[in-house]
Amino acid sequence: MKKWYSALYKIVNSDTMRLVWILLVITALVLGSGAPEAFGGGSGAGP
Amino acid sequence: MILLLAIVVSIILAVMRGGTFIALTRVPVRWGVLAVAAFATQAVFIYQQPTQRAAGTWGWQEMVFLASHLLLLAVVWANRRLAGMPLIGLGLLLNLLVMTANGGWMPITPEAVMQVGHTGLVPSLETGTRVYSSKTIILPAEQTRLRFLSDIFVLARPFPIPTVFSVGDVILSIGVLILIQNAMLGRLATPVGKASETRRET
Repeated sequence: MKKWYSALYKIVNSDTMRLVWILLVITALVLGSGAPEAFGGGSGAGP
Repeated sequence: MILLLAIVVSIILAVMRGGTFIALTRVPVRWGVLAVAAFATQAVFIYQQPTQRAAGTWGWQEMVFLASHLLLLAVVWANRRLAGMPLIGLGLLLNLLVMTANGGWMPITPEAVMQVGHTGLVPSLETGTRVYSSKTIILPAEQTRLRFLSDIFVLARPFPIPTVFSVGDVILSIGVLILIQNAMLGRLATPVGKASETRRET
């Protein structure tokens, strides 16, 4: 059990996870603050 | 997509200038969980099926939407010392201002929706129709309050990602460009000895 916790702790506190987290926070902040039309693009079909 | 593009371009530019991803990991971002929670809340409404809403009316959805933006403002305030963050805050405020003045959603004219070819994202072009996967609502220009702050800039084809955006979005993009440049070039890093103290705060 201790080994498992130790491994998990290392993963969570790794630079990779930290990078993923920072990018996630910046992306959330920017997308949440912006209001462009269509976050995900769009198609030309419709009325 | 245009905002994601701003982030990607910022990262590419920083890499070209010698910036590193490892430097990004040392940026002391505070209250990051709140930013993610706020956007997750918005995503619930953004990706709902478009419906007709009486322009200018405030329901519980609009109140929750507003609360998520105020949460983001709090995150920006907590991180105001990071380069670029004041501009991000200004962009957010300008967007929030025009959305609040127009019933909680960003107004867009039906002409702009047609110009970028996104009529497929709406069931109709009637006033009060929400646009799928966005925070926008269709409002004629003459009914839009603070029109100059609304989605008035149109990027139509042949631009590969047709979209409409606002002054607030432009300022936001400049802010994120400055933030990422400074972050990846190591100008925002916490001194190594203080790293664990900063992580406890976030």
